[in-house]
Amino acid sequence: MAKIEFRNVDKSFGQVAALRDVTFSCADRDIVVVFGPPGAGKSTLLRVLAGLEDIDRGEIYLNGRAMNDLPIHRRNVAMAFENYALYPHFKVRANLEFPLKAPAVRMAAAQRRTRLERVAKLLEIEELLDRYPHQLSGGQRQRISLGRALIRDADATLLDEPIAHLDARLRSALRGDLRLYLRESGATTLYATPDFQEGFAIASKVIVLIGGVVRQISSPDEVFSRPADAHVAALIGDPAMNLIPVRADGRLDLGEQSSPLPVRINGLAQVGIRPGDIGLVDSTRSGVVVKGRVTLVERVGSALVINLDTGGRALAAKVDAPSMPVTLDDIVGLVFRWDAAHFFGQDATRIDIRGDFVTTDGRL
Amino acid sequence: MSAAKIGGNSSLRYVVVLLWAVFALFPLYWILITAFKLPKDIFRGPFYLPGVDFFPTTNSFRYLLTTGSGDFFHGLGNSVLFATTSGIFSVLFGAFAAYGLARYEYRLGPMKNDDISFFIVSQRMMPPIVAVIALFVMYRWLGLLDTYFGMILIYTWYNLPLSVYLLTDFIKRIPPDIEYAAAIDGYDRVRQILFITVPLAFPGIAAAFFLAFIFTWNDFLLALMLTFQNAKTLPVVIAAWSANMDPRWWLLSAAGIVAVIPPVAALSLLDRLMERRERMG
Repeated sequence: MAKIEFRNVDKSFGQVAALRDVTFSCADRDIVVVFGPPGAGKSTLLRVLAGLEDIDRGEIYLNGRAMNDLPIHRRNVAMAFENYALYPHFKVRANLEFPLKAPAVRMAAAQRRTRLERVAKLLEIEELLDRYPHQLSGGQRQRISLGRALIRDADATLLDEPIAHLDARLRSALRGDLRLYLRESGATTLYATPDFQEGFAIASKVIVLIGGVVRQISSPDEVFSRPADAHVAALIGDPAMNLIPVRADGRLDLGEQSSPLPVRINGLAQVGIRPGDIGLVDSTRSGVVVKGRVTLVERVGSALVINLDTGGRALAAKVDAPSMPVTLDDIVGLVFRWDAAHFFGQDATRIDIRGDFVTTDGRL
Repeated sequence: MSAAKIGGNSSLRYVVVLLWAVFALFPLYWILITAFKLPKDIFRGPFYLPGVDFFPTTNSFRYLLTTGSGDFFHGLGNSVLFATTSGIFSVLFGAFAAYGLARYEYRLGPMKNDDISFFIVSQRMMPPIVAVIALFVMYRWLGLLDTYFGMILIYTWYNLPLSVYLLTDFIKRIPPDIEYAAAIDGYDRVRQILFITVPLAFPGIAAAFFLAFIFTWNDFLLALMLTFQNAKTLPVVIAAWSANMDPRWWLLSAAGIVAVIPPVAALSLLDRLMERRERMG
């Protein structure tokens, strides 16, 4: 039996459709990341499950129970709000214990203490327990809000960008710990985030939501390696995937230049190439078809991100260790790794192809 | 804008402040010393300094506690009772109305929430003297003249609009997500309001109560028109002492001092609550 199930759920605010025909289900103990750009309807999806918003059409089931007409307090969901929503008149400790003291729970004091200690340790908030929310920083408040959602046994744990406002160190540390914690506590989680790295690190399953429409439901690896359409592909990757239109004559449209494609596909409209799948070579080398002028060189961690202009089209390349020095305004040759390219049709949906590819200069 | 810019040089500023202080405080001072004067000191006067141009005496207070005590304590008790109960009722009913106006959307004919709010506040805009004749006739017909119930009812009516207005604003400032959080944590609507909304709106509730208390305490007109003996309040009792041919200023002053204490205490308490609210952010 599915733990959480949405069937044809519509929700709009006035003229604006926030969720359109959303259908999905997830199993017990799944960590489902609801991923999408800001304004995609991620928060709304969480809020309709919690009952904070009524849906216009469709059905929502949690643990086999229809949620549609159930009041919020009887749904047994936990939620970390994007704006924290801490109780300002309670100390942190009381904020965290509040769900454990609810009429339907009434957990014994000793048990509450164990829970509290565990959550406090996970979120590094042991020293904050006797403070009031207004004495905390934004990041600290967010951790309390997250803690209040994690401390209890709920049928669904809803986390709305729960670590967005933490500093970088804590955020990356929490990604792993949070996943482990959710696994151990056996929680079924819906986790909304616009950050694919954070989301994909924690997810057992990803729902890509764009404009209130579910575009793809699959494993994080699958979303990364086989994005369902060009819109999904454009959201994933740092920097984002290069989406290059295809001309009527079947060549890649690079502004003033063009490049032949290694395959001929009917209805092909766009080719997606990740920055990491573009190689840079000496522009004078034989067989170089596409050249670009370097417009920006940026160090991102151990790699270099290089922005290129091919004469009216901007491309991004990401190289770990450049085989040659690259400086601003250099003209370099571009090599595309076609076996890692993605092909999209007229309606932007993915076209799967099989077969072998060659690079434009015959090698990688 | 800094204070220095307004006042020019600082000594001028002190002079202005001092003048204002004398203007504001002299009546209080005058009442205070008059309460300790003998009639001869008042009518031979004006005397300003106790112990220098007159000898202070507690005669007036002794009168309040002995001969005049019946009327005085009757009025004082009624004032305390009406101010407290009408304060409680106007806050209680006001809070119900305010919660509804703050959290739900209503339509009453062409009126939406803001119009309903304005309609309620507008009840309090006319001076009570406009209504008092009609109220007298109504009360006579209903048999409510000079009754405790009638006075508590009229003061609750009198204070309710302001209480609704004030509390709506306070409740609106509590983010609904905090109540939602309590709902998600497993608390039904009644418990959300008891554990979350009421404590957070408490400074507003206290402010509404004290304002209602002060308004009722200071009212003269309604009590004058709608009471005779049984339900008369302290201002009416005090006024009666000067209504005769010989105004007994010493008694008026002594009773006035007692009458000033509760509103001052209420205001300073209110002030401290507001301060706490600012600190809580």
